[in-house]
Amino acid sequence: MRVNFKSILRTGFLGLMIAGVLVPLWIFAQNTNDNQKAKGFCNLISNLASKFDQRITDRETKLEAKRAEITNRITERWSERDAKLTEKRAKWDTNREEHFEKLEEKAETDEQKQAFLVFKQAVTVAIASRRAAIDEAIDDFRQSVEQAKIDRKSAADALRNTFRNSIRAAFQKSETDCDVGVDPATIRTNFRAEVKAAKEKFENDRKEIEKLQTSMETLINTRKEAIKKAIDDFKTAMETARTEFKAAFPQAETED
Amino acid sequence: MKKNAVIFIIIIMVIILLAIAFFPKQKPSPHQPPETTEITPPAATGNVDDLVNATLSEISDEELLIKEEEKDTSLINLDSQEVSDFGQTINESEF
Repeated sequence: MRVNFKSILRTGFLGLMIAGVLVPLWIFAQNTNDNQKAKGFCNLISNLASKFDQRITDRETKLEAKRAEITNRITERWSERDAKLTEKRAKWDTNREEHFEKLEEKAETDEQKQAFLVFKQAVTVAIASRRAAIDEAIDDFRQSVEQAKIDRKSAADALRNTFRNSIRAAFQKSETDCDVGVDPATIRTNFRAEVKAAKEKFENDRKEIEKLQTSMETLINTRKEAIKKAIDDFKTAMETARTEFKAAFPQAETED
Repeated sequence: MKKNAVIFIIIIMVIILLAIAFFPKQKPSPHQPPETTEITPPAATGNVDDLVNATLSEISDEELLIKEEEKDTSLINLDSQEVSDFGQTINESEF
């Protein structure tokens, strides 16, 4: 296969010629467009302000819908878990009653029957205490989640309001400047600078809101500690009950 | 003719295998509540140790469910995109 260098050079040269004509034309068109926009800026303001307000309203509607969706999902999950927890506890209560019945069957003397009753009472109280402590930890956690939602909402609403007010103020200033005959190009430049500043502030503040999420780690750890304490206390109570039962009912240890 | 058919079948099989290997596996949606496994209570024996152990298994059974609650915190910032969109309500290219 022969490479035709002349042809390649010709094509390249032609391409450069075309680019040499088109690029300045494109830059010129951009500048003309920019100049036209600057000149017509005062006529645009009212329309731009209406568009902006409409977009804010549309996004508010979307945000509210998303917030409602989040609330529904959380509420739904909580309800499902509450139902499951109740179901699980009932299942274990039934099982424990069977264990108690079998254990009671082996109590022959009054002393053994008394030891059984004391044991049963201790186990029942320990379970009730553990469940109450866990329920409290769950409730506290859920309240914290609710609070985190409220805090996030307040912060996001404040963020939106600040941004909206800054842009509205920029529109108002531009309108006033247009009314008093300031050069439209200058008005536009100032307006662009104000929009840029408002957007930058919005972005920085928004990042801060996202950091609120890290506080959830603290909530999770607090809850973990509360649950761990409830379980540790329960285990201690169960060990005490078992030891006391075995002391009063030593044959139970070796029967099975 | 027969040789072509064999080659065609092999190519199809290779394509299917590659598709299976590289097709993105469907991830569980973070919005779906995760499934929990159940712990079955042990049968009653009349032994005090078995009873105590059963109460400890109950804790594990509950914990599986309770731990799921921590994942709810990830739902709170699901509106991040909607909040971020306010910053796009004004477009410099329009003026």
